[in-house]
Amino acid sequence: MCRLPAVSITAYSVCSALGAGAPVHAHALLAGRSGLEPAAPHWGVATWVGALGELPALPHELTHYDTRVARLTAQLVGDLDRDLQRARERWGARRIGVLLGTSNAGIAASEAAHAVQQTTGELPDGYDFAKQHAYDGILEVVRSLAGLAGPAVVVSTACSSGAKVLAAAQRWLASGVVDAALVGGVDTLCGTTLHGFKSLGAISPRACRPFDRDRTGISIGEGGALLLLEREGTPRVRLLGVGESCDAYHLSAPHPQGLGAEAAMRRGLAIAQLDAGAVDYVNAHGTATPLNDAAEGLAIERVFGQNAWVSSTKAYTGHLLGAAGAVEAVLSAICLEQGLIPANLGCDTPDPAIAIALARIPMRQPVQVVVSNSFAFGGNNAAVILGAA
Amino acid sequence: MGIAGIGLWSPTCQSATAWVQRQSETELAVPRGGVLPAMQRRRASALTRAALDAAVQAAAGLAGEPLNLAMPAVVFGSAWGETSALGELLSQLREPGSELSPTRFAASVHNAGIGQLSIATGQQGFATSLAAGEATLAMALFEAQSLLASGEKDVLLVVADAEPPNFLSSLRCSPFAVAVWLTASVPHGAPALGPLEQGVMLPMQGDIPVDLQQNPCRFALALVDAVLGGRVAHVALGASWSVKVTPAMGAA
Repeated sequence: MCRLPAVSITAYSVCSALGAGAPVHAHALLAGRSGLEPAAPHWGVATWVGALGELPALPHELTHYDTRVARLTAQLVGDLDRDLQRARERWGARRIGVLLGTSNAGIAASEAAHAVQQTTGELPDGYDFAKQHAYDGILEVVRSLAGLAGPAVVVSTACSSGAKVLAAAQRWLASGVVDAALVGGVDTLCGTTLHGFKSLGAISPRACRPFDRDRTGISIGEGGALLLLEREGTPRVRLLGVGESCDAYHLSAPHPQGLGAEAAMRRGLAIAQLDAGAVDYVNAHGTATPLNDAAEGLAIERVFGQNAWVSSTKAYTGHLLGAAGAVEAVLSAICLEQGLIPANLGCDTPDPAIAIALARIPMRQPVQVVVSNSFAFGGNNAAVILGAA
Repeated sequence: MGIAGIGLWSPTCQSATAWVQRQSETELAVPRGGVLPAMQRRRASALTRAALDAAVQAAAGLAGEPLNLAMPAVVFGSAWGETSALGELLSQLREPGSELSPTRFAASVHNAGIGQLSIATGQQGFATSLAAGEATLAMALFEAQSLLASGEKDVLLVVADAEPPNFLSSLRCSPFAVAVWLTASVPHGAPALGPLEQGVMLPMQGDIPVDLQQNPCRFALALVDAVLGGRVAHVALGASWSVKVTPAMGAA
């Protein structure tokens, strides 16, 4: 992959258990406030989650697509209303792409429909596999609400989805097939992932503790983020590059030395034409599973030594799965805009085997370049590199 | 974009050439899973195995030179993803006191197929897994095109879909996969694709077997016909996307 031109990120919206919008997220990062809480009993898993409240229903004309993940998506689009109008007027609806990352898409709707079916013998009225479960349902919601008619795609590479859409958008812009792109990730809580991660022994019984010596696994969250990328325009921050790689090692465990993670970070730096020394802060994948944090720690140590601050924000929002890369890109943008290194929340005793410069307290200092890591099942890795405007 | 290899798998037709010659079998075949070692093969879904069988055919190369599956960037497209694993997980979730299978859970993600391909071949480069409903083939080609424009030399594109769990949907179709090995350069006489075009609603081309009429990847049948056919053709890719296909010089 050759060097790609940097792209202006002109607007973004974000929603997680911390709340909706950049200001509430900035405040939580500064204050070290977690959005995690014990999971509701109906999930049947004793863990902590980052849950959202009720979300408003979709407009009448989109009723067939109405799922929790579609509602979340609609809310994020609504928060960018004015920016999208400006972008449509400047570039034209067909020159703006839509790229969404999700791992679960509408699985929660299918779980609910299947539960009703087991009781009544019939699928509930209004359930539609092709519009609600299938991955492209949320694309239709975005295209309709945002008034966009360009190429539209969902990337679903599990927990790297929300980072890989930024890579694809940068390529689309570089090759001239679009002039702007609405890019992001969305995922909501569902039984399949809570019970699935539990079956792998990867769920923490309490709030997750990334990079702690006694970490016990992940806390899952729900949420999402959208970022507006434009060929030209006043940037809030800039997308410099995204490195992508495969571990070629195991479907659900990282390479123990973090070789794929290291390759992703190094490729991202090469695309951005930056030395590792230019990076001020690494927003780690940091899921708090024993294996992930050990492997990622080794990879970060080899690339950055102790020269970049590192923290995971999973203990603020929970692990947002397919949305994690997009939400953490927005958190990274906040760090660049506000000159902030967030503390690695949840870690009481840093793992002595992980030799990285873990940020223990929030710090105010100029931040020029951030690397945000996202790693996934299938050994699928992405490292997003963002720079100050 | 040049085309260096092509493959196709359906229960009644197990190669691109057989499809173009309309040699369909009456006995339904089961996908093998090409490159996977025996243990992984048993665990892989029919969707993944069909996708990998098509990929292995594409890697045989149209020019007679075998291509290395560990080398290309990989773009996998599927509108519905790993539906059979999903069906099993949803059923397990409803059984009181039962635990989900961790193996099935790990294999239920949309990118399970490219993960298994990467593990089996040692491919450590780029791989993505995407969905776009009826436009899945078009968006996979769109992504491949932008990868080739960004410096990748080879892209293995695979599209595949299998039917949803029958308790969730009445949509029925056979598992079906097509793989196309795309190259940035176009060797003399090799088949080639032009840039994707949007906005022209071409009619769906060719004859679609009954068992694939509801498969979101069915548009790939016409692409295979055009690549191995004898004349320049505009192929409908689904939604309002199309592409101009220049077949190999000397193709039948």
